[in-house]
Amino acid sequence: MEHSPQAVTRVLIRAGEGHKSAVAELMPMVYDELRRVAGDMLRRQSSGHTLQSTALVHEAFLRLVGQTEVQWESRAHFFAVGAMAMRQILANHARAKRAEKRGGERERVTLSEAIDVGHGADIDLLALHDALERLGELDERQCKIVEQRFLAGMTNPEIAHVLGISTKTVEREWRAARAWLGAYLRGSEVV
Amino acid sequence: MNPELHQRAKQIFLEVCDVAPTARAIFLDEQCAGDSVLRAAVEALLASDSDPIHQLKSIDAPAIRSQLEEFIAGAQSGSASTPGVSDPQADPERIGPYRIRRRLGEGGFGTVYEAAQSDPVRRTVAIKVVKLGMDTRQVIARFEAERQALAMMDHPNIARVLDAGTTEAGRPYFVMELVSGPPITQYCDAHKLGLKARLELFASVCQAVQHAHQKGIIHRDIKPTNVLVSTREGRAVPKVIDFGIARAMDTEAGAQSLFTQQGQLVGTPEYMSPEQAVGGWDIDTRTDVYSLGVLLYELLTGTTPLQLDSTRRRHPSDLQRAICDVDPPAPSARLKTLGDSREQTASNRGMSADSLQRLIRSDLDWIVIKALEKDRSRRYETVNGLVQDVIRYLSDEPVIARPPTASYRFRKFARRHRGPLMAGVAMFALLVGGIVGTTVGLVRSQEAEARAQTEAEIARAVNNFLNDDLLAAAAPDRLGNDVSMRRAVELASEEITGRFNGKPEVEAAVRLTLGRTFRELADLNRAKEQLERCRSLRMETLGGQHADTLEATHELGHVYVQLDRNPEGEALFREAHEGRMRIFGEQHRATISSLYELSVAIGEQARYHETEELMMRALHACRRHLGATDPLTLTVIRGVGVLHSTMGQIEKAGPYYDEAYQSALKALGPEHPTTLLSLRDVAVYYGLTGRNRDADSLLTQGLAVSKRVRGEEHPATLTLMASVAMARFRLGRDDEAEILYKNALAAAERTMPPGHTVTTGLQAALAGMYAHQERFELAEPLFLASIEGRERNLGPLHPLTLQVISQLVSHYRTTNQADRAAPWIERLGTAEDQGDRSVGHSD
Repeated sequence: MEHSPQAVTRVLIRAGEGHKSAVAELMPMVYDELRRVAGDMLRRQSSGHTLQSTALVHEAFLRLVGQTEVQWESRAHFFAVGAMAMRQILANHARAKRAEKRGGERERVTLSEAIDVGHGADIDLLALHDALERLGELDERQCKIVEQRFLAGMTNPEIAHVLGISTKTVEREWRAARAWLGAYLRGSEVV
Repeated sequence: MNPELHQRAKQIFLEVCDVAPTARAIFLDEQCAGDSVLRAAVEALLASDSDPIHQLKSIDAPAIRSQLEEFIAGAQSGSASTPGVSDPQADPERIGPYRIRRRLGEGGFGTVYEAAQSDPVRRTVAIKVVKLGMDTRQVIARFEAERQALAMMDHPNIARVLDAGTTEAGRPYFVMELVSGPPITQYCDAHKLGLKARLELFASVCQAVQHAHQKGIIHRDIKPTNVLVSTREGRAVPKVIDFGIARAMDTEAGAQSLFTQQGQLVGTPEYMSPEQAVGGWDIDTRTDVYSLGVLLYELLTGTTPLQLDSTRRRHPSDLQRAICDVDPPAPSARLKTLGDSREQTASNRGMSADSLQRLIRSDLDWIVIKALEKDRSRRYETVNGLVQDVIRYLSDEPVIARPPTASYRFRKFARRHRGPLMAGVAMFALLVGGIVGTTVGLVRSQEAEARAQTEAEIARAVNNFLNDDLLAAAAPDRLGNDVSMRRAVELASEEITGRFNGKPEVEAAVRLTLGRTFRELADLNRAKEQLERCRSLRMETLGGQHADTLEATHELGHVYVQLDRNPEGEALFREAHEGRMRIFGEQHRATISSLYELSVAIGEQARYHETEELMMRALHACRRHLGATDPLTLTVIRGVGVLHSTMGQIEKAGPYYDEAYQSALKALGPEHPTTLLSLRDVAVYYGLTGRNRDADSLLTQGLAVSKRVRGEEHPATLTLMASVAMARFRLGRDDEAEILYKNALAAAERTMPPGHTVTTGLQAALAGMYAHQERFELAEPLFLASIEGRERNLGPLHPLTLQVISQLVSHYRTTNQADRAAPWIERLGTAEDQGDRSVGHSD
């Protein structure tokens, strides 16, 4: 079912104003549109191309809201939901892949192992999922920031708004998170 | 590492970044105060920071494809439910008498739950709760109106709607059979189902919709998310859901619009028929036909016919215009424009992009187009009409949707009755090749037998001539080093004139032998020359009914048939047969031989019923009077096999071939021409039944023998080469096949009269291979040459000519030159109009 831009915008505005219930209402709308966009994108992609998860969320936003002027704060909520959706997909994927292995033990996949698979330049998804899970255990907020920045392509101010912190804090947290990810994915035992 | 440690490491890391690199070590000493674990962590962070990962760019879609697909499926599939926020208010515990287990997903107009029912029966159901904003009473009322009919629907491919009601909050709900599984399009892609499997699934869906139509229920919202497929016991079971709901949900307020009052889009525009888009209540079963057409389009090409982008979706008038006026491209045309996703689309159907392109042409295009007609009176009237055409397509029968030209029906008939067209070419060449060397050796000995002592003189003279003059002619000093049998015979034949003046019988006998020899050597014109002369001599001296004259008549018949002048050959054989019947009776070898050759001559003219009748008579006579291992019996058995194959009854032919080959091998040895011919028959039979490797090895053997015994350029050898080429091609050894064909063709062009069936057969076979490889610039000239040759020699309506024309038409179609195909199609049409004599009937 299509959601009209006016309806979506209304919800977005209310979410931007801080109404928690609006965020909940936003979710199904975003999911619906993401599904549609993902379906279209999958159809258009051939196996040689990568699908940008950020592009997915962006496209979904454009489709739902279109040309309507929306405050960036509202937009941020949309994307945060998108990021969650992408994370969910990642988790499902990892679960499925794990189930394939013997006993489903959790092995840590390092970047150096992962890097040989596929096109080399892209991070293996299992490794990424592993890393995000671990980071989430150690620092929830950092994990969220990575999720929103990497999976949905949100800007620092947008992330700051959604998480209720300052932009400066986001910048610092992101730098530390990225360093941590790099170390972890490269196989460091100490982080 | 634990959260506290992590936080501390993070703090220190961030601080030390601002410190000059030279001072960092000391700073760390201070901050970490002997905690080596902490220090190691910070140092690791620092190291990583100085060489940051840039790969955090993208997620590779194919890797998460199946997850994305599950996610996309949403709704009833249950794996990608909306996570996180679980508002207690949003998920009730009970709805009416049903206990809610979990939320399955968000549907088009509401939420879907999995629920348990305990009374009157225990089962799990799906409950769709309608969103707020729709007039509950009206929705329920309308549903009630249809409930009776809905209850009567009982079809394995329809999800039953069981109940309806209102929640405490006043929202309407529907209780349905719980169906799990992804939408049909996703299912097909995930399982990489080929076209046949997809069409079969589609047919089941159609039959379900038809069932509902018969109960008076129109779905009105057929789309992939309403057709879910699950796997039961290894088979795909599609189920159509949401029957009757769309109707119940209709807003009343005058003309139905694409958007509700709140500006929400009703229905899925890509699947909406023009009459729905335009509004109004005049919906009938043909609306579902349209949506099924869209579904079929998507199953074939992976895209919907109308691709409506976001701007169009927003304005009702744009949307309407798109649905009602824009003509979508045919599926095959759409495939061409897919660009990058062509490969993916094809691999989802388990084949290469080129194969897919080839398969989705003509008939499938037409079926889809007919279902998608904007004007509903031009669509299939019923879903049944649509599914019947799909079934016809699957059975290779003409589809109704196609414009019914005669040529089309003819081709379908030919395909049903004759097996693969390429093999057909070899088949006919086979029959022709069979003329050579069948009964020559046989008759020679029979002739010797039949000759009475009183004709010893003639015999002696002939022998002398052969041995002395021929051998002398073959002497090295006369011909130099280049000695060939043919040359020797040629020279010897020049010697005859004037040699036997006053001894016409001797001359005739010698000419007969020469004629036969020339025929063996495939020098048909010289053979004809000699035999005509022989026959007229004997006519003069012995009269038309003398055994010897008949012998000459018979031999001459052979030559005419080999020259593809079959009516004349037929006349001669008939004469020979009737005469021999009168003189020797039915049981004599010579009589049977003429009978058989007569049937062959008729077969060459494609009068197969007559042929069968005569040939079976000959076979009976052989078995009865000559015995199972007699060479003539073998020849006739072989002939019956070829006849059945030609008529497309390959299963009937098999046993004959086997018998003929085995007997020939035993009775005549591996080098006998008859054995070689039988070998080729068996090989062709293998080829047609898919035993390509067996065919290849058998044929390669035979080819070697044929080259040795008959010569490298003998038509029978060339025909064998073509058979080997075909077998190699089937085994995927294209290069070898091409070389063989080319060599054979070059030899044929060199040695045979222009337009000879063997030559044109080779041209057509090679062209067919090129067309298969899509090397069309090479295929076309060969096709045309073959057709021209056959037209000239056999006539424009001869089945062999038409056969190549069919191939040419196919080729034009494949390369999108339908306009060039048109005149050829006319020709095929004319042929069929003339009574379809050209194709054997095996109904």
